[in-house]
Amino acid sequence: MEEVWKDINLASLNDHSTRPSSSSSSSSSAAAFIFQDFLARPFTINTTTNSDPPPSPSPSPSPLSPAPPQSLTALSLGCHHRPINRNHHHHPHHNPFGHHPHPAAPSPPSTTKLPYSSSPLFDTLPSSSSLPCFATTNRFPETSSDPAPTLDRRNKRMIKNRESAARSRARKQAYTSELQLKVDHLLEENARLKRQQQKLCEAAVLNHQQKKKSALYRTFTAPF
Amino acid sequence: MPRTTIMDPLTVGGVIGDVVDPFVSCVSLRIVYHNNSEVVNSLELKPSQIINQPRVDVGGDDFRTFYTLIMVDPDAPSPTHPNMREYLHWLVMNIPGTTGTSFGQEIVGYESPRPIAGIHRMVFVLFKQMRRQEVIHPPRWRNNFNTRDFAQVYNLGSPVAALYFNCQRESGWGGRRIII
Repeated sequence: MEEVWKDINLASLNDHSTRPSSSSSSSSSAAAFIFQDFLARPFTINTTTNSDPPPSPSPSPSPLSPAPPQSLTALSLGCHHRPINRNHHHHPHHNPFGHHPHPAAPSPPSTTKLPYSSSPLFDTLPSSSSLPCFATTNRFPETSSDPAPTLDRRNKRMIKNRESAARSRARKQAYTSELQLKVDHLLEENARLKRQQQKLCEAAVLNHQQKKKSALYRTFTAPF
Repeated sequence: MPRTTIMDPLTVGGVIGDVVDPFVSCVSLRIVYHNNSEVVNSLELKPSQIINQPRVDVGGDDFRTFYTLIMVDPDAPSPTHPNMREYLHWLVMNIPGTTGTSFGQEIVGYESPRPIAGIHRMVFVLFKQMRRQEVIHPPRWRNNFNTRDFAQVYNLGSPVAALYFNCQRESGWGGRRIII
């Protein structure tokens, strides 16, 4: 069990050091890849080794805590807490995540709305074969008894759905900020044009008055 | 209601990051499709509205400065798996300042976007050229085009303007309906 956490730490540390922080999309996909690896392993191990001695998980959160912040920054926090919740399910007699060091640290831009403690999705999940509540039913009938592939697919779907939701929010926010900018711009232009019109109006009135003054008037003097 | 800082739509929409690096917009760019649909950032246009190439008005000061316009789709073939990022839809170089694409040299002809899966961003990027480009090697394929690399090869520097809109397939109903 501890070797697994160590492996994950090493993998995430190596990936983080070698990968420069270029675009957010590449880092998020890289983090998603790490995350998928990260998810895949505890599930296989937890389901096979059910009889874990209680003290062994308790030192495991401490090596876990330095590693995840690196993969966390690119991912939503709600995603990350799921494995901890699962541990909680399988080992109800300890709660490592109560003392988890980074509950809601930075509010990530692509955050999920999953609150930390209440997770109705996971309460309805037994360890093996239930279909995901938000996915279409009966798409993947449980043929094999091995839960790892369906969990994998479910995770992938959830990740894709989250990304899609994040894109949708970004689209909406981009449109509203574009409109706000346009409104500001148009208001400024409107004010400027009104001032200009005012000036022109005054200038025209002034001009008209001057013309009146210098217009030809009939007088009584004549050349003859 | 006091407004907090307004984020740049290009950054929020991911155009800065996926297609170009952060830049300062200094030349005006106005793109209008037929039926008077002006391209506004993150606007949704249907494929039926963008069949033919739009009218492009480039800003700038004089005719002797030349500009390059690139139109790409960074979400091809689908936003979840953009394997063909970026798909080149249109490439016009040697556009004289204050004019439009009809006065430039069309290197890669306008291809009407027909997205199949998902909601794609269609990005226009305008670059200022150092001089009129005589020797141009047109890219052999439209897919997997890289705007940054192209700009480097032709020494275009940072973009001077960018616009983007969203497009999904004609019968698609994805995305939130934004009701203002």
